Amino acid sequence: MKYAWYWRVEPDIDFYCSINYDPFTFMKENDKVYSFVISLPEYHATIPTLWDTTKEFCRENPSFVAKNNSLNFIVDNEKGWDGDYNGCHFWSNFEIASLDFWRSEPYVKYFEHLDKSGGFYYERWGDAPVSISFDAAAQANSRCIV
Amino acid sequence: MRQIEDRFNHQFHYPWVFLNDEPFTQEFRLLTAGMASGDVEYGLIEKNEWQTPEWIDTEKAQEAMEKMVKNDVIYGGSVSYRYPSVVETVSDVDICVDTIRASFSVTHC
Repeated sequence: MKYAWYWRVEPDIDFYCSINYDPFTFMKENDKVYSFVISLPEYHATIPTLWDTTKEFCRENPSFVAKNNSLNFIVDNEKGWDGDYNGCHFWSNFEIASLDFWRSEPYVKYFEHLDKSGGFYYERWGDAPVSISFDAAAQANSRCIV
Repeated sequence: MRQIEDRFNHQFHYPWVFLNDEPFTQEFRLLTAGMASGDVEYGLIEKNEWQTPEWIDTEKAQEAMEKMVKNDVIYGGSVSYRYPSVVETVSDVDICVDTIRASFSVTHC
């Protein structure tokens, strides 16, 4: 694979100051896989069954779930797997991330599981809540940065 | 793109990758290549990567979309909105990008 990292660049954005360091190098050296600017709640009407589908996958594949994960970021009151997804997601319009994570076996299998379930079409799952639903479970909580 | 080059990439010269579901025009290529301080690549998302998979019941999907439109769900009626969500999340595509709006990504080897 040619690229290991990417920075998503959205049309009509503004950068108000210079960036005098290399975020790719920073992430690599500090063992980060995902950077974002803001997080906000998803419209629940677009993802009625995403959380159940995610939980089902994680139950079937416990080895993909990190011990020191970030479930508390996306489930309120520290309820973990017993709680509901609070809709919180990284806004993917700005993101710098490792492509190796998206290509990794856990994420590829997770994606296939979601794709087969049809929720992208029967509901309207966006890429952002999909990504974080699994990132939060699969990543140690130190690996995503603001 | 101009700002990213001026504020960041002129120091690092990372390559740009533009993806779209139709070929970029010569004008677009000239302008972007002129602005980039690194290599530029233009990718086409093939039609077979940009279609509803065969296991999806299109009637059921259509009904679900109509219901979402009635209920004012944001992008609820847009088929095309669904493809980049899939493309962005799928991992055999080299780069994640919102192809509908032909946005672009600076990438790093």
